[in-house]
Amino acid sequence: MTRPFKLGFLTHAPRQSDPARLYEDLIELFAAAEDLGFDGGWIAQHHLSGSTGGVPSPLVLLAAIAERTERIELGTGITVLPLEDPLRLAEDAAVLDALSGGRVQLGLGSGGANQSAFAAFGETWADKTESFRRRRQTLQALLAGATLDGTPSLRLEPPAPGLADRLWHSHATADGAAYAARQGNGFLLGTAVHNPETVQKPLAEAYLDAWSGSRAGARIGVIRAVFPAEDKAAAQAELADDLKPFAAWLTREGLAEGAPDTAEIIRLLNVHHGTVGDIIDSLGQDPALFQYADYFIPVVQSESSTLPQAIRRLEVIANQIAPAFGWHREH
Amino acid sequence: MSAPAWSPARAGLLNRLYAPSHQPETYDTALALLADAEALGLGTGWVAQHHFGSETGRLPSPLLLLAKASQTTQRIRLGTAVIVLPLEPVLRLAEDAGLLDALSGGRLELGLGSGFDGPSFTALGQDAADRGLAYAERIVHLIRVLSGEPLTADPDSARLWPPSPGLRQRLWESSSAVASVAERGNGLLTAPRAPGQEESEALVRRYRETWRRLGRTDAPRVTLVRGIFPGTDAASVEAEVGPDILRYLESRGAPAIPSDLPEYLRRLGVAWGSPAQIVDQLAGALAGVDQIVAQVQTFSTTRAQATRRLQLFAEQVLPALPAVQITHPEYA
Repeated sequence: MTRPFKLGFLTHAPRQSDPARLYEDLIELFAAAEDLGFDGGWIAQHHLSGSTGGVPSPLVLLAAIAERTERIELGTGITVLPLEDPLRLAEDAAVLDALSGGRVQLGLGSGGANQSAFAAFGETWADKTESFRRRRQTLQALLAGATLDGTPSLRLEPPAPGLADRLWHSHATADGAAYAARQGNGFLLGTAVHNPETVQKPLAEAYLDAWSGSRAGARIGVIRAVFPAEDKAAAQAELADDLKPFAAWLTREGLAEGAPDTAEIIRLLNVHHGTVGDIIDSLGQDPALFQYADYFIPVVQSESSTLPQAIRRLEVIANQIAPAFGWHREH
Repeated sequence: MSAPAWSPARAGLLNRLYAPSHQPETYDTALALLADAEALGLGTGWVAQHHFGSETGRLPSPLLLLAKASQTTQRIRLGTAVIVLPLEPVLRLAEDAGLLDALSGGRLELGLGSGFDGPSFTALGQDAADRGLAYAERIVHLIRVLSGEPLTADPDSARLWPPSPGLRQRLWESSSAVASVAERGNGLLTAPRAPGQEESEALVRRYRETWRRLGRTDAPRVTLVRGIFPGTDAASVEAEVGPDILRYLESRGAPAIPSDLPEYLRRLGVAWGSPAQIVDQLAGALAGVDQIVAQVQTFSTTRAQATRRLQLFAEQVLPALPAVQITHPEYA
């Protein structure tokens, strides 16, 4: 039976005081997700001390995860391309693909939540779109097996067959979405502050419009915050403290007026929460989700989530929520 | 004498991942060999970095392979020998190394060098002629980053995360500028030198002298890397490694006459033959050395051959090596 979408999860790897504990937890999260039948796990890259995420080197961590799992796809959501040397990134991705039996899904973005890191890397935030495009070209050509520009015969070592077809972009503009399509790459949708109806749906349409091949080659991954609990009030209570820092940010971005309360923050960040029934209802009504998703990628952790909480939420998603939309485990 | 002077903990394996081409099992074999080294009690397993298959080295991303190895081993220290520093963006390298160090329970030994392969430098947009300067700048930058200093002139600016202060104490340099290595407080990775160059023994002496003169309270660290090919006897080892050595010399435009193989091996600093013969060849080269690391593979070495050589090294060569008094006044 064909499945309507692949099921993944995305983690921003909220920091813990002990980094070693954090990385061991993430490895266990991937192993638990694989046991539950998840098709893929995606790690967001966050640089330096000013960030809230704890993984500056997703490919290094995924190499450890490759040893502790057998089947689950290993994704980045996203790697901040303007802060990477594209040749070194190509090498790292190719080595990870070899170490994992071809399980890499490489998500690329131009900045993500990493604006504060650009200066330390000697890069300019204003140049990030142009920088992304230049580096994407180098990266993708190398992964596809081309000789390196300016050399007669140097090619990527190790070769990474198929990896050039497992690239994804995240973009905030219709131009960017169309650009991803023209490169033959997948498109990741679902930045938390992007309204599904007014922002995400037009982005998905722009991507599909620009796709010149068959629909079968186009691929959209949709990221959604999903927090199952006893009921909506319980979910909001669990999330309240972690969401407080977002209030000032939403106000600064002009997305909220005054000081938004927890319920308003949850609405603005598009967090699906409550009972299994509540979540199935709200996901079903999401205008930029199952109509487009080839890969459904829930986020189940907030800053203070524990490993058992995250695993419990993944269980509910794999066993009850995703099956309501036709997904079933392949293995 | 009671316990053997050269316990396995003071020895290691170096794998340069030489292979005719990348095969699916290339990395698996390297991981299996690291596990073998751990089982034999060796202290450290080192892997080398090569870009674009230069010298037939198949691993451009040693930290990724070691990240996987951190899950297949529990105790052995995981080293790079070396990462070509002028070709690395320093901050990304520090992040990768710091994460791996946390992931592996502080087992990373980060060895750095300035590289030599011209095409790799061209490919990565650098001039190989400037590599000495690029190395000198980047090693200083890397140390600042690992020490947790602010990353821009703004004192409130971002710092490295995860913080990796312990890694600062586990940097190694493969460099003939040994006084600078000592001044930075880093370990020295040394190997047999080409004829006409200052000999390895002299470099070690100068490194230790500088260290002592600086009045440092911590201990200097010297690791000697050698090609070590133990077998039943010299002739059988020569039959195994001969074609690879001759091919290597030819690729560098050097004479490669089969009957001169023993002379070539000597010049390359390789120790080969029965364990007793290897002990004889190594005995004079251990002054001032804290750790001895064996490269047991050439281009076409099979996994079984590599495991066998490693076992002979750990079980028969090491226990028979003479003690060296590294507390001798000359080095103390």
